[in-house]
Amino acid sequence: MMRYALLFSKQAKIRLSKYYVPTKPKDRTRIERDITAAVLARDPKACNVVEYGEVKLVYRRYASLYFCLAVERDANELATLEMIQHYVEILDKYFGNVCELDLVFNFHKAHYVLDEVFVAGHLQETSKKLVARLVSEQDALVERAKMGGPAGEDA
Amino acid sequence: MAPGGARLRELIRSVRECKTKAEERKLIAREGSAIRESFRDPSQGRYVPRCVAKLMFMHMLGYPTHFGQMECVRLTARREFPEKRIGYLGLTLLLDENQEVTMLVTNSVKNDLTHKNHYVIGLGLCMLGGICSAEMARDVAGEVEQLLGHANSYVRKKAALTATRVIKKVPELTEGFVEATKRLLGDRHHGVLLAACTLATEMGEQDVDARVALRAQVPQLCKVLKSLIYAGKSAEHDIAGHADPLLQCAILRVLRVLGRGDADASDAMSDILAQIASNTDDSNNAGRAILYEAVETIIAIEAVGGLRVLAVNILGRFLQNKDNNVRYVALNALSKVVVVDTQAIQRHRAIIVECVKDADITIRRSALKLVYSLVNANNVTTLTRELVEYLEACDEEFKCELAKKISALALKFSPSKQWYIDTFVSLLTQAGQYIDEYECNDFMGLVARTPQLHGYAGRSLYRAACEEGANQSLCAVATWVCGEYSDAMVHAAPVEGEVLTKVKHDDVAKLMIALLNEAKYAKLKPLIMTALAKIAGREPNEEATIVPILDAYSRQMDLETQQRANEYKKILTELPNLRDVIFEHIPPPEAPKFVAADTMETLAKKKAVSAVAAAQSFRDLLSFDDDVASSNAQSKGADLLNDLLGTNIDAPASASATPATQAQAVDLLGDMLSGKTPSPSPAPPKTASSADALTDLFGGATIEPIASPTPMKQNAPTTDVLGELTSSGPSASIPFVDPFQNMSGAPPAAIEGLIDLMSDATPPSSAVPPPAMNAHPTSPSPAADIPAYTKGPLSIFLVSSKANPLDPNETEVNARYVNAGPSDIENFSLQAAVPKTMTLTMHPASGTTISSSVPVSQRMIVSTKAEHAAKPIAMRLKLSWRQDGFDMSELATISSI
Repeated sequence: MMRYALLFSKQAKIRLSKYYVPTKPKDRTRIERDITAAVLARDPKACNVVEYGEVKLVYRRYASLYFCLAVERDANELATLEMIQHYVEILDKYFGNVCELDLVFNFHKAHYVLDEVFVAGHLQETSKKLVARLVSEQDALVERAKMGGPAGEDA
Repeated sequence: MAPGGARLRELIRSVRECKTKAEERKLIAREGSAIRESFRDPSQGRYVPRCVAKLMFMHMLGYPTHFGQMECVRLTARREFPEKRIGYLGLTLLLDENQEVTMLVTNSVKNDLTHKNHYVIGLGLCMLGGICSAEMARDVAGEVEQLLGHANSYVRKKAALTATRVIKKVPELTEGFVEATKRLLGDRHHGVLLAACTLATEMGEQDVDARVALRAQVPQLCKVLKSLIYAGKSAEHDIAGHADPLLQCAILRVLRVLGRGDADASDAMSDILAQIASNTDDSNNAGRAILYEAVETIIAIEAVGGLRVLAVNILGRFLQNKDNNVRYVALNALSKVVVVDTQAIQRHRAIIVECVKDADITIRRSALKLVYSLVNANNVTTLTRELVEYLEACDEEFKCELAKKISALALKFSPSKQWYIDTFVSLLTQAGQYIDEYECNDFMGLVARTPQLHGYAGRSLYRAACEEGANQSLCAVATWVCGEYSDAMVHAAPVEGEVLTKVKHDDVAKLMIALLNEAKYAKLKPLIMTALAKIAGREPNEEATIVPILDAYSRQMDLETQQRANEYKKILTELPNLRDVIFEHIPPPEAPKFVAADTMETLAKKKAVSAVAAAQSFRDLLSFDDDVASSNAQSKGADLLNDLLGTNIDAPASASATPATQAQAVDLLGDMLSGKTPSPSPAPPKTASSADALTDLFGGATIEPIASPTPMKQNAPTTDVLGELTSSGPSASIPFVDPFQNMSGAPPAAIEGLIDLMSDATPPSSAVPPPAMNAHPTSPSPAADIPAYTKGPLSIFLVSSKANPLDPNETEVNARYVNAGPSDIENFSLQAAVPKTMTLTMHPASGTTISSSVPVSQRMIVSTKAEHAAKPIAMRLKLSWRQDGFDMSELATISSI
């Protein structure tokens, strides 16, 4: 299973972080610092895996953004890369050509999408179309509630 | 400011505009207080979702957000979907299972799990999957199990994944989920099937009964897999022409768990595995992900030979792939195969060795791990040569790992001692800074035990140490070997295959002097002194060069260097009779039984046993002297004399020999053997005179307080045992004393003698060995077996000894840090404090990384003020280290050492 997912920029700014195992704030800070440093320092031609303590970091770079999943030692790294690609494609579809700024200002939406792709650190759905439909239906539910009642969510 | 502070978007923008971290902190603090205020004001309820969203942002930046937790709980209990949605997201982000707040949410989530809207159920399940605790898991297990049979696939898949967390938290709940999981494994929906496979994998991994029960589903899973491959295109799930690769991987993974250790299940899946392994196109990542998963499964299950060959071949193909990721997974998979089938992998050895030299550290590490397990007695020469060659080129970061592995391999598989010496010397030359003392000690011990290679080893090290910029470990080893075996270096015939080097004593001495003058080897000075003294002791021609150098260092600020210089100078210039004894080769240490297999505990025990034995034989030795000195001396001494002198004495001495005749005989004897005029022996104290005679007899020296080493020489086995006891050489002494100190060279008894020599008090009776020897300080105390402190895998052993005979208030504490766990303890640091009545000097530890096979040692000197000398030594320790990526720190108090 996946222990945590991190999204960060070339400048080592965290754009999204999700922990599937309990992690103390102090450890989180350390992990995020270590990982951004380790991944950003790597050669573009190097393999997309870094061994970090008990976990393996599988990462992939998209323009200025790095998507990094921390998986167990026995995980399939190649399949993990496919999962990252899967999530990114869904984000791309959802935001319409996703860019870093979309994620900066809509990090909560990136979380909603993430929760439709992974649950409890495991992959949940392999159909991009289905995930897109599920997220937009929930967004529609929110919209409808906003129309009907007092303002809910901030955007 | 607007109620509840700025909108989320505005907050994000403001944070982005902050130029400094301080500015950002100020902004966040202001925003935080606005949010708190808004939470306190019931009229601002409509802004709570916005505030929670802002808190999530602040949380991502690493700021404290605990004050928002209760609001998240309240939001989840609201009726409206938007509030619930953000509330549940807030819960998973701002809380974790360790916080008691999660308990408050159990009720509302239980309600939501029975909600009529499947999205609301989904929110609840998703939250449970992220943060549910064991207690919550018990509370909701029933609902989650029911939801596995929900009409909506969206709910079923989420429930299955949530169940993985439930059974992980409370393993005994596994049983209740088995039936539902079996049903789910037949689901048609890809998402549900994927989740079911994940759940089954988790169950099978942690519960034997579940594994057995789920094996019934193997044929069905194979069928699903088959239909996936042959069903043709489905745009929704395909990636790069492969039918739902991630689902295929999940099925292959659950098959692996179910097939492992079960021949029938393995048999049932072997067909489909063979099809996947041979038909999957490996031109893109998705295909290779499937192949890799299939290979892993084939390796793990009870597969037939042919299938295994297929798997290893795929990995061989992967190894040659240009994509680094593929090579990386191949190396990892091969290291799983290597334990069962080394032969299959030997074919790919060349490529694997190439991977050790890859530009990518991740690949290098995996390849090195694999190479390490590939080495055997047949290929050790080639592989080690390759690795040593690479040492020169590789970066510093990797050098340490590589050097350690080479050193271990060379020791384990060395085909000949000569080869081992060659390899170790090149290892020292290339990466001496990463070779620790223990490895050096093993090497020196091996050299000492191999007399035929003394000259060879000495000359190789001589050549290496002559090079510019030789590192300290190399020089230390070279110094010891050159000092110890300079005679062999000069005289021993060259060994086959040796680079011809003519060395004279003069050259060795020159090298030593050059090292001595080099500031960067300051630590080695005492060791070099010993080497020089030994050379001078052996080759009188060198004395003229060496003694002035010793003289120059006899006023050195460093106490250890100064002491050595003075001692050796005195021996060389003033005690010509003793130098042969003192500067002889130290006895080779006992061969270690194989270091890796021998734990430090057993070593310590062995040492304790040998110490007892040594003490015993020591007592025998002393009692021999006692006997001579006792009233029995008359007859015994006479017998002895009779034996020695044969018939000469028989003539005048009858059975009732008068004391006078005996005294005469004694004198006569002294006369004969020492060639010196005996002092007029007084008649009554016959005992003393016979003892004197014995001294003369054995020592051939006049009465000198230094006579003690001589009996040791007479009694060869005792010397050995003593050697064991006092300076037992490299291997046996590992845990206790600074090894280089042990290597100082002079036989221990001689050192004792020197101590006497240096002290002002002359022992009253010169004949018996000084009593001080009886209570030798280095005999290990029984406490060596009991850790002074233990925390998890880390144990600290403290052994104290009165090391300095000149200062009884000084105690040497040898600390040894042992790691019983499988993973290394890194960045280890120990700080110690002692009571005010004592002062503490700490020497640097032998390392900061404690691996399970190599403990770290550290020497501390505690000086107690004279008026508090009786007090036990107490210490307070502050320890910090890093293990498995976590920093630890501990405080400990040790009440007496």
